[in-house]
Amino acid sequence: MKLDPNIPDPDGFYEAVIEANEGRSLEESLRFTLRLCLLLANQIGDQGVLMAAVAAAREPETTP
Amino acid sequence: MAYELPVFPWRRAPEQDGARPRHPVAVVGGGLTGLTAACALALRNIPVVLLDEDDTVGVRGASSRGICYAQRSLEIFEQLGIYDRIAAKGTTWSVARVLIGAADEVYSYDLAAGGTSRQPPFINIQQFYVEWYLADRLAELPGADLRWRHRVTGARPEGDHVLLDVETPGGGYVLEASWVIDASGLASAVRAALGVPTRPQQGVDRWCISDVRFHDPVPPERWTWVEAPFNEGRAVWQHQMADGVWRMDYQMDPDSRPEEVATEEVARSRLRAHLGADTEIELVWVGPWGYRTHLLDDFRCGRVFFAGDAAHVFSPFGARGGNSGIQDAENLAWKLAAVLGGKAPERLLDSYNAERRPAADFNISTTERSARFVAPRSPFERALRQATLDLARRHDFARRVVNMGRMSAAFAYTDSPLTTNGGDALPNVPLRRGDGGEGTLADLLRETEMVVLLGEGCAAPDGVRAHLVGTDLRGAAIEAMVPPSRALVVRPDGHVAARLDHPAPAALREAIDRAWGRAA
Repeated sequence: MKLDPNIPDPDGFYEAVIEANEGRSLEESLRFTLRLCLLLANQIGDQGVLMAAVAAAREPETTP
Repeated sequence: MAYELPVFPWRRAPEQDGARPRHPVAVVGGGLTGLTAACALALRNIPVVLLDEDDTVGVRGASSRGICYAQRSLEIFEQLGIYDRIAAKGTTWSVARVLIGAADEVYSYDLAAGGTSRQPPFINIQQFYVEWYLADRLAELPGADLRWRHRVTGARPEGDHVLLDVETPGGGYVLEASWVIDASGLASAVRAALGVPTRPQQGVDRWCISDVRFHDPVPPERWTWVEAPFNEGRAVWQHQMADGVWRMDYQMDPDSRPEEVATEEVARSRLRAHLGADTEIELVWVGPWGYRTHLLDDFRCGRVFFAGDAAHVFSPFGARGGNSGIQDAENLAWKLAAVLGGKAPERLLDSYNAERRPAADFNISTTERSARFVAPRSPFERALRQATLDLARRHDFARRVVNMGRMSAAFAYTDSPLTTNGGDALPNVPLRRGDGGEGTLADLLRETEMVVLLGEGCAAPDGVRAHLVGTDLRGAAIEAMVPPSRALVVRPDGHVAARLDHPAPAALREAIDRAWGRAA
């Protein structure tokens, strides 16, 4: 799994996600984010990378 | 409409008049699994005694049981000689649709696409009909001894045999058998007597079945609503079976009371909401139900094998209950027949647990995943399902994520000790013989026990009968299955024991020996 910088324009992506969620309730934003998650998962298309990404997303909670 | 079920007479057993024969195999329980096992043994000329506590098929007062019979089961029924009756009586289907609103299709698929088996992907038929046909078939077979109203209450292992305590209307007796197949369901008395522990778990999701006839032309397809507006936004299944009866299965509020949701009045009002107030309906059967799950650690205890619900129970998504019991029975029957016939060492029987327990384990995890999609357990899970459905309306990839049950298919014994390379089940493909005769793979499996299929350029080991594909056997499907320079060793149950490229005759012999359990 790639953990080195790989997003061409990180600030642009961050901003696009914020803009897409403006005016949404937390619940609506959750649903949006999950759609985004599924779309990105399909782009990756590699089960090993997906599982590693799920594990990496849990890490900040499990290691101080 | 009430079904008229056969009544089988109780008869005295020879044991009740002082005889003490040693039965090679006793099967406990005359459900799908037990009847299939007995039939598969009797067809292999193994004398078999089957003991059932009831005097009819089905379960009293609950005519609704399994309805979907998968291709693998249908292929086994073809082997057993009851497929034609099932096909004539049941509803053949292959198209499944998933809907969200009242008629808002998310996606559909045709299970028949690309299939090469002589049997269709699925036939729906009431379970008691299948049991009835199996019982009829068994009654025709020499060596099959069917004992109705012979209830097994105990089991005691005794060295090279097992003693079963049997109760009948004419008193009790003790039956002696070399091997026992326990197919007596979740509440098995045999398992209890042997002290084999299991830990059944109850699911929280609640359902109510309404089997119904109505006069409205609807295609015989499997329709599943994820969130049906006519069922308070919960799931609904709609499926046709024999006699023009439809199985409607409604997901209930988990807190609902089973006795309330299953009254005739409530069932009729649900059906009116579903089918329209003007549709004339005839209620056949209504019953509430919930999931149960259990899985034995070992499907064998000495000379007793556990099969079907006695070994495993899972939620019904994908029709994996009855179908897996039928596969258990077939798996065990050819192995017991081989050992009793002196063709294989007793070690072959170890592979029953090695193959069928992973299959059950797979079925449990597969059905649990479906259950979780069908009944989200938290606001987060509901949001994840909503996000999936949002995308499924537009994109093919997300339709693959929608999980209203993954339909039962044969389990591949990839890691089995009998498998050299393969383990998958071959479809029952049509073929032409060198002499011009037409047939299917099932015919070959009936004729020879370990079928060796050789592609062009392969040679059989000395003394091994083999079929040359492209010469002895022709047909697009079989020729695609066995291309030049490839060889297949196919087990009596149609599973591939070995799929080898350019094999030396010695390698083929080794694979055949391994498939019989003869490998060291």
